[in-house]
Amino acid sequence: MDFSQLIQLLISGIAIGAIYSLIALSFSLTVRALNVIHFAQGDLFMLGAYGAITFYLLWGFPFWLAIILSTACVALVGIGFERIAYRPLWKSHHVFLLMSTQATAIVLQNSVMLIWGTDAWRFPKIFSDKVLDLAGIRVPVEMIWISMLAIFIMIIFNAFLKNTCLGKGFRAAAQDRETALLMGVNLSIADSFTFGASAGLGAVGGVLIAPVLFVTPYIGLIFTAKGFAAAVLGGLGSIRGAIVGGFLLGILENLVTAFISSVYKDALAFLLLILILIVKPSGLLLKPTVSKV
Amino acid sequence: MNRGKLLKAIGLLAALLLIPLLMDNRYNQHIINMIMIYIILGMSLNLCFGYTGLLSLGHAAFFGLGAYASALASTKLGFPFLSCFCLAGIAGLFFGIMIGLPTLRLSGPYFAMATIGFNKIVEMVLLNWDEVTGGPAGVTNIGGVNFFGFPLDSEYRYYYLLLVVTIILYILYRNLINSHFGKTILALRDNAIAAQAMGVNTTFLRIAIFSLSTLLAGLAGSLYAHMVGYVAPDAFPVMESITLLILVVVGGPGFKNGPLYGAIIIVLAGEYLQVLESYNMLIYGGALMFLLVAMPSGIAGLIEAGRFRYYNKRSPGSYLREVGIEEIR
Repeated sequence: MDFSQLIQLLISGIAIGAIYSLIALSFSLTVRALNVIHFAQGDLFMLGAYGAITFYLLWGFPFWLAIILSTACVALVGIGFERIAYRPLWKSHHVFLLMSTQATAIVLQNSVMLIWGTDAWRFPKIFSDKVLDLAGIRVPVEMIWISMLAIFIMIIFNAFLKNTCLGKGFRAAAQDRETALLMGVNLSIADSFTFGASAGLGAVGGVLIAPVLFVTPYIGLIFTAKGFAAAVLGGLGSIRGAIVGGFLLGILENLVTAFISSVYKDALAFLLLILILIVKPSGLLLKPTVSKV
Repeated sequence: MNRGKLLKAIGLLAALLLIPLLMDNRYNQHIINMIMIYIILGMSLNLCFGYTGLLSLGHAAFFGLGAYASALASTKLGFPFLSCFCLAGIAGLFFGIMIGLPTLRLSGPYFAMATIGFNKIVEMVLLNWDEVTGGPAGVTNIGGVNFFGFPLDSEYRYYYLLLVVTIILYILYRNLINSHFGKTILALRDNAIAAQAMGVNTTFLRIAIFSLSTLLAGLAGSLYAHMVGYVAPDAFPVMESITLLILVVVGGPGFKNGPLYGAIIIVLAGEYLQVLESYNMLIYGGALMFLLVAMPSGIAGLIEAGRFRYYNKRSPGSYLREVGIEEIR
């Protein structure tokens, strides 16, 4: 293993890590705002990939339109589930809400199976299938595009939360619901936004990864696990932590694949999760919190 | 126990003992036997989910580990049934502690995610570790059960073994819930911080109740393996864990008789919904979602509420609040 190969591993780790960051970010959004872990996140991600297949591959829309349309559709699905299945459960024991999100995952996975079938879909390369060669470091151009787009979307989303009036309102609702309510934030819309945005972010990840992955209805669970592990790695509920955790997980995964074996690639997320829980449950970027009565 | 209750218990026992004599075919008896096994699984998950509020999404893995431990001990080592049975329980207990130790120090979703991961990993290992588990074909020709020279070789005879084991486990489970320990886990579920302030060792208690619950699941696995005579990895996927959760929710989480009702419904639904094939899991998922919103205390909750409406001293809501069930609604 020479130096250029290591760099190559790092770069492809960052590329896939950008996707994990998107999922981790969507986990963090719901945790921050409503303290809900949305177990269907990976399945919304998968739904995004199927959206891309439908709009781009089957109906022949341009790719940018396919991204927007499938993100919007998945966001609507997320909002719909929030209204139907989660909102009536706010007052009950938190375990019920957790279970309801798992039920969402089952419903999504099986609906996708019925609509699109169980076979794997192969997506064509969108940008280019060239491989960039920089002094011995070989990087597929497609991966660069995908990660750039993912990072771009994260930056836009962050700017929206930080700078616009709407985004500030939603952040206020996440921080202190009652005070936000008194300041005129519509909590009902803020909740819908949280779930819609988190579903939409996951869907963007799904659209972007479709060209590099076989898409099947079964990928939901593994991406839920990876996104969750990334979010916990960075610190569950922290936006910056989610992004850092996603990149870290992507790089680690590539290193494990290269140095140990590709068999353990998918188990890594779970092992990492257990390791973090033992060593530092609050994640890398968050301080340990004390829960209050 | 007063005289009326004693009479009722004896009547119920007699009815249960008579079931095999009234069955006209083996298939129906098989369904009844499966209900017995699901009752044990339901009690196991009700302890952990209903009473302690730990969302285990991997209970089928412990069920499967128990079944494989028992099957392998029987076929490869030639152990008699009783040792296999104990071994399955120990396997469940061991893996329960191993999963519980790192993940149950914190409450919340970490545990759920870890158990679902564990179920996935167990599924993969059972499928791929050919030398030991026999791969996709599983372990076949598991020996039947001999009870002091009396072979329990048919569904009808095996039923009595299941009945005895289920009744013993049910009594232990009921006593556990009524004990001081049972009250403590309820406190843990409803307010972990307050329980901790009252001197409850929350981490220890969570691990204890979870490993106890996986022990039960392992025992159920052993009974299952010896009943059907073979075990294959496709009987223990994550979906099976979800089915078990639906069982507990339908029956009534946090009600001691919940698993009894839930097991009957889930096994019958599983048999009669097979015609729907691919829509099956979609219906299960939708049903779970609906139940959580519309009927979170399950059948047992309805019965309880109905009973107290019947005795109408107070409105059912105030009764539920008084016995501490309001929290789980």
